[in-house]
Amino acid sequence: MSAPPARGPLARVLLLARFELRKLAARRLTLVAFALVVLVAVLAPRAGQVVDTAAALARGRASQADPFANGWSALAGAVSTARLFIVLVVLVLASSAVAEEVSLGTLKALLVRPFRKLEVLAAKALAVWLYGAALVLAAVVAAALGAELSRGLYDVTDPFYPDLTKHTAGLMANYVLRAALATLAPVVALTGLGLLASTLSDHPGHATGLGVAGLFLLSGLAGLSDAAQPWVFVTHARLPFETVEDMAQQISGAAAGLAPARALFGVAVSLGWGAALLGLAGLVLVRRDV
Amino acid sequence: MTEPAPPPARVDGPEAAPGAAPAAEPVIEARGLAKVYGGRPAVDGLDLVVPRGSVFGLLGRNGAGKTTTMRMLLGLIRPTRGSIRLFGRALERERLALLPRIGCLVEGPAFYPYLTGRQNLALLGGLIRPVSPEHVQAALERVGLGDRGDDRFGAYSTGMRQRLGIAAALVHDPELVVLDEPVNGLDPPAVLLVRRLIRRLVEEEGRTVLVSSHLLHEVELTCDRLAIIERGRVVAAGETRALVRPDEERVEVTASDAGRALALCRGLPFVRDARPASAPEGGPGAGAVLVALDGPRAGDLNRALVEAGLEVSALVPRRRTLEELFHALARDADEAAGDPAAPPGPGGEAAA
Repeated sequence: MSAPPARGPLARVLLLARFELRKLAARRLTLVAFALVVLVAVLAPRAGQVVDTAAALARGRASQADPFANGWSALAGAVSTARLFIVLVVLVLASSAVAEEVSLGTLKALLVRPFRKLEVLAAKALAVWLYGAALVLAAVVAAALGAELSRGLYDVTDPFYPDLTKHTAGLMANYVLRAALATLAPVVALTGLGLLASTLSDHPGHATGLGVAGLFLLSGLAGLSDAAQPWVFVTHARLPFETVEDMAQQISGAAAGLAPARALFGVAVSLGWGAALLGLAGLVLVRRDV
Repeated sequence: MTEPAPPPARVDGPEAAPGAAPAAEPVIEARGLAKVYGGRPAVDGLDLVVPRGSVFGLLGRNGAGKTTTMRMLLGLIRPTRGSIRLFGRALERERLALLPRIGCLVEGPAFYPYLTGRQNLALLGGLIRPVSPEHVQAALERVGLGDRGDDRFGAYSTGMRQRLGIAAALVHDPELVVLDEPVNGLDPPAVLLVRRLIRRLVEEEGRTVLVSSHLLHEVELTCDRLAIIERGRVVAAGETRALVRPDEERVEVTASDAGRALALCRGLPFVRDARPASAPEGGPGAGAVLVALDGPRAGDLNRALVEAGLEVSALVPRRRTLEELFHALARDADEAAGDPAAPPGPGGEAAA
């Protein structure tokens, strides 16, 4: 019966986060979701070609490839498609994180161990965000693989003046990387939204419903006006790869979307939402009796 | 509106008052503990002292306040009033330092259904201290789940879940083990296993165990000391032995002619009450008479029966069972609270 080691708050959160990640790794849902996202991202570029061809044939014409489509636009399009799955998976996991612990009774099991409620919440946020980040990065890598296999990832050239290089492959790869990193910030906000929903209900299903409703509400809010759009994090979840796609398709001025100042603004807005939502979730959880 | 005065605590044994501190530093010391939910007290000025190295039973009806008390002792809920000291340190200030020294099963076993029993123990135990696979296996074996550790928790039966809950309370080697209704849902062999395990935790390993239960027999068999809680208050506390000690003022007489013995006893001046002992027909106690005496007068009673020509084959001081004590206290509490729905004692009989 030797005394267990004493730990500081950060060590406790990291220990709990590792615990959460090991739980996530043991769940079929997370593994299936990961495989699905990778599959969607790999197949989307090829699927896009198939759909375009089918549509052309249905119109009774020979398939006419979009002259501005290329591997990079396919990559960005594939990540945008996979993003829908990623958003749902992260939202479902975050929304059920606390509610599931309450319904199983395991929140009590955690809180009779040396942790504060806020540390439990922080660890869950970190674990879900890390999983979401892994999904984003895996989707980007898989989409790059799919795009390379289907169209190839070359320099972006003017289709009418093939000798005129608009963006080198290196520059496009750099933009893809920046877009991937910029997408990680909205995942924080999404995690916060899910966790807030999770602290508001004892039932994982209800909490997930709340989280999804919240996302729809925010998406609606973003669509209300051009002025509101930049201030809602959901905008910054889709913007980075839409910008990459615009760049790949040589739409003028698209690169401005990934300029450091714009990108930092998006990150700040998303992190602000994340902090506010997680703070609210913390307030709700602390006030609740377990 | 004033609330009815609570009944006075009945205290037996060497302790002076419920929760009176024994010589050694107590592991749990709660003073004036109260928890009020929406104006209704769930726990109301409860005092509790659990000495080191003992099995302490918290006994009470459903809703008496046992689980609320345990939740407060573990820091899961904050008391409305009162103080809690664990291992001599204030729980409110040092909760994070104290909790690793406690293992508990509160309000049923709670685990992740998609993990195996072994994974659950390793993960939850690992949140307190590094837990080796050998530790986990040992904990599983202690509760008879040594060969079922690799089954998913979701596939466990009720009894297996309960046993895994007890294993989780022990896996990180705690000094204080808090078990809320530990034998709920267990079959008789598992009950015996848990009973022995609890005794071993105290007698061989020097731990302290706090057990809550409404199973009177179980508490009587397992606990060194106990406190009976009624309406959020301790109404009796002390050593189990002392609380259920033989009562020299009540004797059970088995004589050659039970009818005559009963009539004779009723006529004796030092007999307060005499009635046929309640027993199944033909079973032990059949034909016996239960006699309440004015003081320690068993010898006088025996002499009177023999002088009347009756053959007395047994004259046994009636042992007060915990169940009798419990029901009497519960009835006192109900009467004091003006509750007409007070449950009768066993066989309608009052405890001594």
